[in-house]
Amino acid sequence: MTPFSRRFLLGAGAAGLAGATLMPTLTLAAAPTDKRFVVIVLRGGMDGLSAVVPHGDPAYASARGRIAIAAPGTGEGAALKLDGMFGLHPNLEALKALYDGGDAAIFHAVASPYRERSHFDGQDVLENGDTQPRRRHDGWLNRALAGYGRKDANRALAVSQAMPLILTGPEAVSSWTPPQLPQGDDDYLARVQRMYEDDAQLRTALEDALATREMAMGAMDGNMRGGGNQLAALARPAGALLRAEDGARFAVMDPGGWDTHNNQGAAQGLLAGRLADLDRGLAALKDSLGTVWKDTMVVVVTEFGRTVAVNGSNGTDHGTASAAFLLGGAVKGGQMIADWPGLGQGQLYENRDLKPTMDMRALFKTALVAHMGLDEGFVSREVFTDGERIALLEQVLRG
Amino acid sequence: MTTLAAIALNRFGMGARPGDFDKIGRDPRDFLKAQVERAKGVPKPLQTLAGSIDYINAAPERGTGQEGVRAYRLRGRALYQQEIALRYAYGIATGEGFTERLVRFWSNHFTVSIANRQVEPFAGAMEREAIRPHLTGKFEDMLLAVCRHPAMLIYLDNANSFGPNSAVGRRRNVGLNENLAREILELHTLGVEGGYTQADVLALAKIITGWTRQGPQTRQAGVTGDAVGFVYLPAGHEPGDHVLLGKTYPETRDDAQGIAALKDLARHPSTARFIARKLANHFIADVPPARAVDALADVYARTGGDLKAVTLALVDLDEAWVPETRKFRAPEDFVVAGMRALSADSSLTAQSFVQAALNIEEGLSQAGDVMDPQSYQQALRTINRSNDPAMALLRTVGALGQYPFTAPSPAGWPDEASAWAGPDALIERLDWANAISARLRPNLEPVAFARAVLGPDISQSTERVLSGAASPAQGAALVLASPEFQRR
Repeated sequence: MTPFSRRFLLGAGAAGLAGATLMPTLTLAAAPTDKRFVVIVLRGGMDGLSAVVPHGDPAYASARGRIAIAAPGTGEGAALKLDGMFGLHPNLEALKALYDGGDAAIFHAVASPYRERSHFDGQDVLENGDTQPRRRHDGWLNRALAGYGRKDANRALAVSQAMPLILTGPEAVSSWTPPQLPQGDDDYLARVQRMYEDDAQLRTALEDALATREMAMGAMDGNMRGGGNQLAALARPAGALLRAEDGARFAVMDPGGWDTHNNQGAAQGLLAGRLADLDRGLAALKDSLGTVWKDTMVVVVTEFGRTVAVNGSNGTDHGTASAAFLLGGAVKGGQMIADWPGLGQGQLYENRDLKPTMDMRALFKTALVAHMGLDEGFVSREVFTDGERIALLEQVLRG
Repeated sequence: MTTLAAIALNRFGMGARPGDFDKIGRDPRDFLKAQVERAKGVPKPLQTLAGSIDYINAAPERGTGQEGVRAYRLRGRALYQQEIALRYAYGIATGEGFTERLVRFWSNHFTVSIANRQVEPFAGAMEREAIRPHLTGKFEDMLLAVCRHPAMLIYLDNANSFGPNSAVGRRRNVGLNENLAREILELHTLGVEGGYTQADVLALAKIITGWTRQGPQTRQAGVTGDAVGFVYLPAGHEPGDHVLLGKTYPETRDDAQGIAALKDLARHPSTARFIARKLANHFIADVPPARAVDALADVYARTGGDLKAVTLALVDLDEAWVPETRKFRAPEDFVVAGMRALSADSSLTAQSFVQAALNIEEGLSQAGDVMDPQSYQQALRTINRSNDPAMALLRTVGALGQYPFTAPSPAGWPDEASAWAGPDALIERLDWANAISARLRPNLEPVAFARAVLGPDISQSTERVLSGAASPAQGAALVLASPEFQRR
């Protein structure tokens, strides 16, 4: 984003704010977009210190003990060097290639506004766009959809059976996973639709499902194979759904299994397996998006990081800040962005966790405004609580 | 056939089977209360299943080769599948539908997941050994039984939590794992808004250090445990007094310190409210009326967490009997209710699940004590055959997102429509309704069938579509697909 458009949007936002008191119906509907935005929520609390290794921090190796990832250049299982301070987990090879190719920016010491250590409240805040859990009952991405003038079904898609909170709300959204059971025939489904005519909840859900299934059939040439719930298996069909001209513009994926209390491992082990799946998933997504990768932004976040110290069972407990990734052809990659708080004595949050120095919502807000073209004032007011205080990130989009 | 009877069978129970309406008697409330009075321990069909201790005692000695260890693990998987087959059989066949729903409610409250493969042999056993015996007892006894069960001790890592100043902690450079302590406070007792701090999490974690499962290691250490699989390991316990929620729990020579702390948590006013809200959420509405929650919390507090009193109070709540069905059936609920509705008129009855379990039994006994992975794999193949109806159903529930004992987090399966009524989840259950009806070919008149399992309240649009069904099989599928069948 150029400085000029930044100023322009800031101005528009201010006008919106001023106008709100005078004419409450003022809307600044954004034009339809061909950009794509994917949010990947890693549920369970990804350990940012093993994913993005601060090998240059003098306290890292000793604090991490048995689960420390070896510094870059020290042989097999060593971190993949990003710069003198940071490296990626050895299983994040595809991410490293994206970084080297200028398609991935990597952030550290990132957290949502949530400062306690419950998964459920943590995920709630990540998804509801608020500063507190359980106060807003719809998701920020659903609220963002209201900023477009054009209302199309299938613009936003959860690639999961259950609708995640981040997409829940008044705007029409859909969900899709590769069908695992023989599909009902058209005659039967048409009759079901007639039974649902007076039932708004079921009618809408079925209409969305049928439309999405049709879209998926087209996008995948009828070849929809189920492949389990690993990100690597879901990313390819997700990419096809996003790639299609009449397909989705927003998608959410939310692989779990990141809650590594026990035997987390280092270069190998439980966490290494999850990171390998994430890495394969990101590569598959890029591959599947094909030519629209250049118009895509993917943000990868988790509800919180994990304790700096290793716990009693070779794992880590719930912490605070973690790492985050921004990928896609639209991203000005090759950057490692962190206001690093340090891991030494006196530098930790509450004496145990990585201290947050960046609001995760800055990634979301930047994506919505600078990439997806939504009005900044609208995003600040309607999408996030206290959204005016969230800074837009400079220099993370290709100009 | 009345609306109240339909509520008793579908909202409180596992779903009506044709003919069930005739068994209710005059007062549906009494029908449910009689089940609560009868609920005692493990029902007979499930009593043959192995106990946790049996599996623990069958563990190969240390130093056993890889083949033996692998065979042992496969035996654990076979036990899990046998358990699930019988659990479905029982869920489909039982006349004690309310009791069974309560079991699954509490089992979900105290979720364990086989995503951790070590939990697999113990997950179903925990339901039999820690949930069912206390269904109408004191909540504190259920809490204790769960927190001392191998499944929970493994799932939430307490089996690997050691006091930093304990003998083991100092010798082996191991320490606290706060996972179970945190979830006890957040998910099992007080609730996340229940008024505890990080310091309380740590205190409780210390208090329950040394609570672990029996195994070759504890056997070798010469400590004896209980009959289920729990053992208190003094050498792993963090010494000293600990302060939890402002109260000091003095050091004890045994596990009494932890027992005292958990009992206090079970009787805490926040726990009363948390449990009351969760029950009301499950039986009444996603956002339950405050008066109903207050009433249940009040009974809970007054009786010190007497689950029988609380359950009976739930049955007495007027809010639980409003005709409007406000709870969307979760996938397992939907599939079991669908099977109950169809099973009376089909070859696929609970018997086929029992047969599946027997097949596993046969495979297991053939494998015997020989630690031979191939015998166990044979046993698993027997039940994994694609034409085995029990396993096909299990896959269905998995495809619908609710494979037994795989909840995505310690919070258990969500209990709100928003989690299950999304487009993809809905169309997949419609696919299943169609497939199962095509397979079973029930020969029923659709409208009569609908009334037999849903009661008198069928909308005109549903009735119109049902009466125009192209075939009995399509008619049955449409009954299962109907708006009335999606909610309870």
